[in-house]
Amino acid sequence: MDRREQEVLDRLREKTADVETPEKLRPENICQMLEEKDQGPERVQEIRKRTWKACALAAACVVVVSLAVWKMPGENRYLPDTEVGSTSSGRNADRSEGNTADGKASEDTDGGSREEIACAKDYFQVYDYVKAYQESMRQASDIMEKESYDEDIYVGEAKNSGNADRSVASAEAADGADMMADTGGAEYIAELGAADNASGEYSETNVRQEGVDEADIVKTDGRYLYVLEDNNKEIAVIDTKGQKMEKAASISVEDRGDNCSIYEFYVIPDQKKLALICGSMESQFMLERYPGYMGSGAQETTTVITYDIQDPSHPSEEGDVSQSGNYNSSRMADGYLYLFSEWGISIMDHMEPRDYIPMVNGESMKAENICLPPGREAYWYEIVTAVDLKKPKEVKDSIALFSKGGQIYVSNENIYYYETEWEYKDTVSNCVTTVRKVAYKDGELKAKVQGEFKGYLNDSFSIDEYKGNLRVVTTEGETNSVYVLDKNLKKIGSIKDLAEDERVYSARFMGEVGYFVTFRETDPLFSVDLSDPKNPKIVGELKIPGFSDYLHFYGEDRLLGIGMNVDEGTQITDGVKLSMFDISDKTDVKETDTYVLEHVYSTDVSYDYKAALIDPGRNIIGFSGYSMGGEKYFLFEFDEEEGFICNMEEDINGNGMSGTRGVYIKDILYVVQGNVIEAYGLKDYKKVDDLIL
Amino acid sequence: MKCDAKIFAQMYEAVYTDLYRFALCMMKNRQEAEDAVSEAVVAAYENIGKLKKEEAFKSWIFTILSNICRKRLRKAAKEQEHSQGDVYSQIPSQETDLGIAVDVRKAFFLLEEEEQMIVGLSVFGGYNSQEIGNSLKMNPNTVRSKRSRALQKMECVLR
Repeated sequence: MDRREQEVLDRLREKTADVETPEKLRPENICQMLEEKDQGPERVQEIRKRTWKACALAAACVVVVSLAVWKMPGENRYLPDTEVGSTSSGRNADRSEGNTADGKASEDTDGGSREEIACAKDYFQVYDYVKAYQESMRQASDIMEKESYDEDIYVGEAKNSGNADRSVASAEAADGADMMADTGGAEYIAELGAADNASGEYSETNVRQEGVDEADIVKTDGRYLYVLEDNNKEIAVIDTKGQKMEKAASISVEDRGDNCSIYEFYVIPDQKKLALICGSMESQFMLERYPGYMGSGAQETTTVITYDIQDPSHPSEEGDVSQSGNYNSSRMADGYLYLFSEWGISIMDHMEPRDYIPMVNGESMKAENICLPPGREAYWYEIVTAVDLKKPKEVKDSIALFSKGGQIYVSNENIYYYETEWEYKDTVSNCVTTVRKVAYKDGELKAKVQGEFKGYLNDSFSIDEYKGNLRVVTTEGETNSVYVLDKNLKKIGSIKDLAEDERVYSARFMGEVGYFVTFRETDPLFSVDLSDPKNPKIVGELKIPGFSDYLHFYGEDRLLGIGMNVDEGTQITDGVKLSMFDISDKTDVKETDTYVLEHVYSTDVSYDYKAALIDPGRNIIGFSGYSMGGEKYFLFEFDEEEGFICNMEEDINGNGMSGTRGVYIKDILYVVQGNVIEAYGLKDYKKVDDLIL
Repeated sequence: MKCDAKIFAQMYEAVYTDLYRFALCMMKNRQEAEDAVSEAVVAAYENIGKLKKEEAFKSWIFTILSNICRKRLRKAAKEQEHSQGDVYSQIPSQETDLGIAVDVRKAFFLLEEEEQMIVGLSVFGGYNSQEIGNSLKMNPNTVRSKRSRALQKMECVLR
């Protein structure tokens, strides 16, 4: 959870702190009431009746039938095969190819049943899914009323009581992932700059997939620093050329209204462009349409605005593209920006197309660009739009995946949208993850196929494409599995029942080898040989204390892990830990060096890979960590003989809402936190300058 | 676990203010919040045999309460469907005694029911996304993204 969110929660807590509890609910009165109840059941019956009556009278102002939170008992997943006849093939790229591949043995129940992605033929068909959803909501509420308490209510207990501190701590850590990594499934970035930057003159955003750029809150082009200011309304352009840093310009969205704020941005040095992504909430729409409407129908819009920065001190706006929904994530490849937003439909009794069809650049999307979900209900869209930065006012292509909410992984050729559906039965949770593949190239999007596998993914590093195959490492129930899916997302290989009672903490694939870390008491680092996709094999397992949340290849034959150290006696995490693994022999991986930052209780890198500055070429490992004294920036190098060397540990003086970033230009490191930029020499690690925006 | 009214009341004492605040944000007024908590107490007490560990009491009773609130809201929404045209009278006005700061009420009002549950469980239950996911039967990632969105909306109103 980021600081801004934390602050809202704190404010709510404060503001409700002095709420008075009614007399009747005081423990002594409750005790008395229960004692009376013990004496005669009629009494309770009476209370029940009374409360139920009150409920019946309750005048909740809920215009919107609420969203489903559990899987409907009545919902049957069925494969779209049965409805192929009724769907348009407009978007389906290689339908024929797919069908031939399907002939044999798709009886595999574990995953990988192969399916085309069906697209809608008209809006009515889209609406059917919404209606089905609406209907099952109604049924669910009927069922709930009839159901005894047993089934539904007590699920929480078994789950919550079992796991001790560790699981809580990790979930908390994962909570941080919201804004940047998880929610959006954020990943990406720009190899574009790399052409200019071949010599490693300046740092680039740490990305999920090499060759696919990702947006961030701080960027540099080798001379200027671009920093999203803490008000989220302005990007400051800072010239670093002179003796002192100087603000040269500012790119602001303030003229777009109070509700508009910037999420992240790209700088594309070789095209001399900056593209920012902003969003705004517009409640006017619903109010106009439904006077007195108080639900959540606020219409969210996500916009990409492109600026020319030939002269960075005079940026000029070139145009924008907008689409429905909240910003989820984005990627940039070959000069095209791919924007992902998610839009949930507010269910109402009478709906017109504009209530359930997303808009792109002011127009309703065409039915044929809406991909239908694997089930038969949906209320959520993932909208993907491609923008050619040379024509920043135009939509090159767009597609919407009708879904229930998921995340993305973008390889060099495909977008994978994955969503996990959870089902709870007898206190055991089962889940299945559905993956949909959309190919992209030069701004064109093609819906391909969908498949599924059991379990859920830790993050986007747990899913990886290589030579057309997709490899995933999943956690399902109390065990973990590796699956390999072919280009039709049909399962071709698997390893199951790994690391019982543990779950995946981090993963990284490189070519034919995958590494992943699970954790319960010690941290096994598994190596998987994937050279034969049909027959993946665990070839190594290294047990060490603590765990790594983030893995990064560090030069040849080395894998860097950043995570937490865990005291083996108490099982308490006692500091951020760096590990270096020697992976020259994948069957015998060794942890050659470690460094524990005692009293540094967490780092953003655990859930946001963009917070890491890692450059094996220049031998730099930088990140911020939190200790009792506040936030600090650490800079390490790795020496074969000496192991990790901590070159810098400096207090961070900014206090913004977003995370801290470290970027370097030549021999200067800039640590940016909120509106404060602090510069350090990379030779003597001394502070040389600072600037407050 | 075995438990009589006294032991139950002891466990309840540690959590009841949070339960009530949570119900107050979910339901529309004091009376309904009170009723929801009473119902949860009775349900919990009757089923206390199913609770395995005392430590789990808080999350357990919160889950019960959240289910009850949800059920009641849904029921109310249904009733309302059958008696259309009365939307205006249901918008709480400033005069109504909400028992809670007006901006908090408004902020909760902006949310969909599901978002209310998520935020309520975070604030008053002190739960993380994993735990909320378990009790609402949702993917923790979905919980996180929904919570993030909900808090964004609330931020505008809470000043």
